Amino acid sequence: MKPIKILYIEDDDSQRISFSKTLRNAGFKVTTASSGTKGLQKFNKNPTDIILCDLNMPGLDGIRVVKKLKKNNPELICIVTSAHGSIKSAMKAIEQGAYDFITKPLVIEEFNSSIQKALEQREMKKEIQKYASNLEDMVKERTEKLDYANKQLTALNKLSSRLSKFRNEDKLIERIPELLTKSLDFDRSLLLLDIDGRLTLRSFNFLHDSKKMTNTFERFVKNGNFPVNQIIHQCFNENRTIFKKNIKRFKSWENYSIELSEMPASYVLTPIRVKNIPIGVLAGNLQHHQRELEHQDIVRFETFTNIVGLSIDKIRGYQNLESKVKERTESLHTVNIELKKKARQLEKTSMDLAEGNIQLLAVKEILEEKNEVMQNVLSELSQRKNELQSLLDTSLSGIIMVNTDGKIVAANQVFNEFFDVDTGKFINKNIKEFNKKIGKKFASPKLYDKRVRSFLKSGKNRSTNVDRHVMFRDALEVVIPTHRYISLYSSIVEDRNGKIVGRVWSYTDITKEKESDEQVHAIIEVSPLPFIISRLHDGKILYANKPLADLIGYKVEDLVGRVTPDFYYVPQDRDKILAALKRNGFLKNFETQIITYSGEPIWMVLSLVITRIGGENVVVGALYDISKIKSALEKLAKANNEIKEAQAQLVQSEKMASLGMLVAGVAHEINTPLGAVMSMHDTLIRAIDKMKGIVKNSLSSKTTTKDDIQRMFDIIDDANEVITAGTLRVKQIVKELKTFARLDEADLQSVDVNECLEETIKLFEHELKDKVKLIKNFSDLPEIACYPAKLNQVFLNLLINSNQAIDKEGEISINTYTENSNICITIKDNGEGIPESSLDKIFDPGFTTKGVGVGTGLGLSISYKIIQEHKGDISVKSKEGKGSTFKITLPTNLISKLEGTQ
Amino acid sequence: MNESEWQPNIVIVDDEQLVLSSLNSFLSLETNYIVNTFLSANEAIEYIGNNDTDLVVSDYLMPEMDGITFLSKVRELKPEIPRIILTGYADKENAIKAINEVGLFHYIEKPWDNDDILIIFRNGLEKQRLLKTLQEKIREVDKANSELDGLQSEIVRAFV
Repeated sequence: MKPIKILYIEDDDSQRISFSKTLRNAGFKVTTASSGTKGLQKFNKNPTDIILCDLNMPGLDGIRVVKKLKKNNPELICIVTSAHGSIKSAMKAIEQGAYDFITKPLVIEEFNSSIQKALEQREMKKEIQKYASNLEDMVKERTEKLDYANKQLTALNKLSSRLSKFRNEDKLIERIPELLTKSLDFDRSLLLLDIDGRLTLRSFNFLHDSKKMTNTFERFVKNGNFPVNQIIHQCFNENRTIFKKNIKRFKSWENYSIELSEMPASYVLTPIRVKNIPIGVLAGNLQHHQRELEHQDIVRFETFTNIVGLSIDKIRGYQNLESKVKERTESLHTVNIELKKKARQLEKTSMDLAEGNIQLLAVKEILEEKNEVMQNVLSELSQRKNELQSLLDTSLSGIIMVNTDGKIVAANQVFNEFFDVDTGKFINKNIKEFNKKIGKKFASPKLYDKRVRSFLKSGKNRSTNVDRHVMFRDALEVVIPTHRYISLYSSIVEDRNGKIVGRVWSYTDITKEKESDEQVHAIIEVSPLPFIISRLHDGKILYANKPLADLIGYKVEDLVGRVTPDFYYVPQDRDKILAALKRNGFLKNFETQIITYSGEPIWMVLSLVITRIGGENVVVGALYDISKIKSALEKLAKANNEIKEAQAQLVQSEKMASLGMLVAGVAHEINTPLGAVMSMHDTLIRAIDKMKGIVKNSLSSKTTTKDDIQRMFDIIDDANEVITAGTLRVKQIVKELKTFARLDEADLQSVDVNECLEETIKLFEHELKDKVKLIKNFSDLPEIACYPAKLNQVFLNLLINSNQAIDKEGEISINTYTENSNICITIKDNGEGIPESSLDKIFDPGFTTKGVGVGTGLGLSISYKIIQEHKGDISVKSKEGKGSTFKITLPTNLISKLEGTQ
Repeated sequence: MNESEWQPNIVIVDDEQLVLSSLNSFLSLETNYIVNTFLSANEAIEYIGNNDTDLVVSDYLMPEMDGITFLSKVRELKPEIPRIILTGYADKENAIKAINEVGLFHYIEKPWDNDDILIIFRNGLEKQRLLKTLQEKIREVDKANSELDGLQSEIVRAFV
């Protein structure tokens, strides 16, 4: 260690000499100066470690010396000496940079300790300075590294955001080596992926290599035959980063034309991981650069590779999702198409149903009307039957009617007189019994029998060909009870269609006729049926009876002498009749119109026969008035046409009629419990199947399946409940529907109209829009005679109209009350109302305000018709935008009104 | 999300106890779904608001509010839940219109076929499951991103 150098500045010579001696003895190297100026000069020439300086000196004093020295040498240790009592000056010196002051007389120990402290402090300062400068260097160095790292980070960040933009894995992989070399300052990079268990080179990037080298590697990528060396396998298999420095060449590549630089290179290899599973290897190579592979490079390389792994994962995730979403979209699309198809089918079915309903309704109406017509026809027929009976009763001939079985169906009482037999006893008995009985009464029973047989054998209508001469000739003689002559006739009876329905036997007493033709006239004259006798060749009327004259409005005497052609409404009919008469000698049941006195034609049916009376060929005709039947038939035909017309109208309207709309609501009501029951039933079947399995298992394995069995029991209990309740509900709905339609009650009935309304409302409620309020205000009503099903239909029509008239919110109020022995029903809504111009048309068939496709336009006209049938009245008051009120008035005495009109 | 472990939570609304009982029995027999049935649409809305729901089925005609109104409220509340309407109302036009307006997943007609119910519910739930998986993936990507952020700050720390 070098001795410490001291410059001692002291003006007092004795003190200077003595203390410098002491200092030298203590081991310091001492130089001295006798004044401040000299001290400064000496220090500048030969600097010392320490200055010992007296304060009180002539010229430059100690304080100024310290100040000057410190100014140029801040590290210099200055110690000042002073006489006792000059502390103030000493403090001043310290302020100027002196380290310490020592009071005179100077003592070496005191000085030594002060020096020691000063030196220690100076060492510390130096130390601090050294640290300080070290710190600065470190900060500088770190800042540089940080800058570099920052740049790298920015690059990584950019890289990461660039990678995240890739949506295609192949494109990403192709770009990665290039991004690696550029952003992390590598010279070469390779990317290999595990493809079917084999590491395969997928992409690479060389910054400084020859074209030949690049071509070689491009072939590797293309052909997939890159010779993967051991270090790459190690990295992948051990799933860890590997780095090697100063590698010159890889042995395994020596056989390939891979040029490796002569310069030693560093390599980093890191496995690319997706969800922590290695899928390949990324390799980097530093070669041409001066810099060494450092720890940060490896960290960055690993980070880069991690980002690559995450990006691939992300892309795969996206692709997977994309394909799934695409798949779902396609399947949803298919479902959607199916749904639309199904909906169209359902719509069609629904329309078919509606149409079927309309047809049913039409058929129902036809049946009702036909029924009415049939009633009329039947009453006509019964009238005719009565007429026939009276004819039989008043006939002078014995007439007996036999059906095809030979059974007697009718006979008059004339036989009583002729043969003294009660014909009543033979009704419903066989004709043979009758013949046996009366045969005995003839003069020659055999002849009678023979005659009967000949009628049965001979043609069908021969008997009506009455030739008077034959009649007289063939007269049978009766001996019991009185003597008389009977002429027997028989005729087959045919119905309108020519079908044989029986035979009529007529026994005529011709005892008197045998004597006079006049007597024939007398018989005809008393006949209640119209008869006529006219001349064949010109039609001159020889005789007409009173019934005929009455029928056509003439007097008998006015008719006689006129000619028959005057009376045919269709002249050609007479030609036809004559032709038939000349051909067959007779004509039966010919329908023609005869002109009456008033000029009006009436329908008659004629039966004519040619005969000779008084030596002339004459035509005897029986006429029969069929005008009533005819008009009934015409009514029937007309009714038929009307029905057909109405049916066509209904069928043509393609959209739902009121009944169809009702069906929609009812369908919902039925389908809800039906759905529950059907589903539950299916569930029950499944549950029982499972139960069988459980029971079987429990029998074989003895494992407790109590919970499973209990679950099945619960389902079975639920099923019983749902199926029972659901079935009852459907039954109830069907009952309601039946009550509404009154399928079993087509006749006039005495009902409470309020109840009819309630029934209709019950079914209609399902149709009500949510925001439509229904207000009922019913008064007590007397029961009235009506057709409830038809009234229900009217109410339903009006309610449907009201509901449709209300666009959003609104109310429908129904009032019933009595008024002048009528009952009134009003249905009022606050909907859109009816334009004034339409008010007088709304009951016309086909008129609709609902627009195409909403209504048929028949609802109100049908309602009008139904109310007319009830001898009631339907009217409407309406204001556009305010609403409409329909009023129905029904008489309480419908039955007497109907009778009054008949 | 694993399909086999997933136990979907479904809500069925119908004003008819019959319908609820039969569907509940059937689903408890054939599926692992947690079935919640409601006679009241308002109660169902409250439940859906407070619970994780994967599928909602509703009747069409109900006294409180109709099924379309109900399902449109469900859509406002949780638009991702698949919605199905169960209708006995024969008015196809309205039903189809409603599907388009309210964005229904499907409509089922009463009376229904149990197998149809199984398929339609399963499809609806599969859609919901995929949606949930998608959300999970998005969360994973987000997590990966934040991991990246973490890695970056780790590197920065390594250098300081």
